[in-house]
Amino acid sequence: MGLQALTYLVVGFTFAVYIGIAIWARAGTTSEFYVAGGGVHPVLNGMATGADWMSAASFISMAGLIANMGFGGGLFLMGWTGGYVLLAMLLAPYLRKFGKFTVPQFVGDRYYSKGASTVAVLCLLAASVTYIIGQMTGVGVAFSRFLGVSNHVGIFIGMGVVFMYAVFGGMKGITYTQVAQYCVLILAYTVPAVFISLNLTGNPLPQLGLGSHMVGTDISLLSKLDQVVTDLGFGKYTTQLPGSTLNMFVYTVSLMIGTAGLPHVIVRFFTVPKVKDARASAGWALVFIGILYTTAPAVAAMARLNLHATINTAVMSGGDLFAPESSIVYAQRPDWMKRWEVTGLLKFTDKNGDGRIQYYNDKSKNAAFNAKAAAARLERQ
Amino acid sequence: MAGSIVVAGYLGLNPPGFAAGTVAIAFGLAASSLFPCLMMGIFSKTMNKQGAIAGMLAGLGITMFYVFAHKGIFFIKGTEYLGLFGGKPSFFFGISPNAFGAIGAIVNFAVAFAVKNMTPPVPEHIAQMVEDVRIPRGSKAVDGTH
Repeated sequence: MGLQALTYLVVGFTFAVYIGIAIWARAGTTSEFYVAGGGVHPVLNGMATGADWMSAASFISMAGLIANMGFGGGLFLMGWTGGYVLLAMLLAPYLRKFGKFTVPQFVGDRYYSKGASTVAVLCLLAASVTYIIGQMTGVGVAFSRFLGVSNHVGIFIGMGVVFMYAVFGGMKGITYTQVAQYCVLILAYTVPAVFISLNLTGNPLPQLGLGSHMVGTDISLLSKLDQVVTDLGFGKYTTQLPGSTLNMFVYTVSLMIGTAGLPHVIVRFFTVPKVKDARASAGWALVFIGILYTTAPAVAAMARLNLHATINTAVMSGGDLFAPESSIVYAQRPDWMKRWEVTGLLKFTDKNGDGRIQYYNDKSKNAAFNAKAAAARLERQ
Repeated sequence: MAGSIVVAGYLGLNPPGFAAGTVAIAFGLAASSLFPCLMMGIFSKTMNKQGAIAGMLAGLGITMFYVFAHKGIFFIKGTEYLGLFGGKPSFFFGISPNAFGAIGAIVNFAVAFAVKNMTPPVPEHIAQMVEDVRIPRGSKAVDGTH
């Protein structure tokens, strides 16, 4: 059986499970739709919240952003997990005690006016639509790669699936499907990470592998990566900031309080019977999200190193990064690049006409790098 | 719901950034509008409806304004108006549009408290309700009659 056939089989099976659970647990009444009859166990609720968080943004996009941004990408980890703590400590128990299912209901009651709840709905719409745009981008990536179609077709298919899902499920269906989904997703995320970590550092825990020495050398994974990316003209991986420290701080705060203000997480805290359970749910959610969020930086660093090593053979052998024969020949690129090219999300332009792939920062401010790159370009002409 | 999926799908074809970056903007919008409103709803007994409404609108408005300046009006490409601010991205103290939610939240709090002080106070039963929510069930004030 080929890789593609196996992928279809596994994905088809998980879809069948999700839809099966959704039909089995279909919501009967309006209040059931919102709070699943108030009877979901805290651990399951924590898992479901975890699955919520492992949306396209966290699952597909975040590790990539960290790989690209380096240290600065850590703000997503701090912001989103920090937001949970804020939500659990500061807001969730009180909101639950208020006994209101939705944010507009809470706002309408607390501020004794229809006007206030209408404005709250407006704010929710603005946030939610933007949120779905982001998720749709991710859905497009996932479906286009999975079915081998262009990114646009992937988004159309994703829209159809999401619509069917939302119509059938209801909150209760979604709570139980989310539990199943959490198990599938976390395995899909951590299993490859464990093997990549074993391969690169010999450490089975990716979280520890990130700080371990590379196999057969006494240089740690992160120092190796730092050295490679600075040699290629990028910012140093472990200290790179998004703009400034102030920007990183404000960005993190934004994500934290945004998490505490977003509805789909808050509503889920109402699906447990007691205030105590609401707190326990948040605690469990943090544990389950922590598994993903501590693996992501490891995946990011290892993937970044792997990308450079794939394109430039001198990265691993320690040879001259700028020697023409170090860069891989386009015609011999690995299969995964060909598959991604189909989706239109990965493109190569042969600017210097040598039929090889070079990947470096052409806007670098690093003088040593610019001198070497200029010399390499001269040699090739 | 179908409508919002279609709109989101359409805009997803021309996204304003990577998935996690766009989601970060959504969090910024929630941070600037809903978070202060929920916080004041729980922790301020005196916050009234005028303050809350003005705060939400101000926070959401200024955040959208800053984001749209970078990403285009309603994320439509080509409608960016960074030119009005010298054409340099992140013109407000180097803060990127994805990160602006926290600034919006500060504006929200400030506007809400300013408007609250100029408008009628909250009705008595609302203040009582907020008080109740913050006191654990089962406890009561010491009344001297054991």
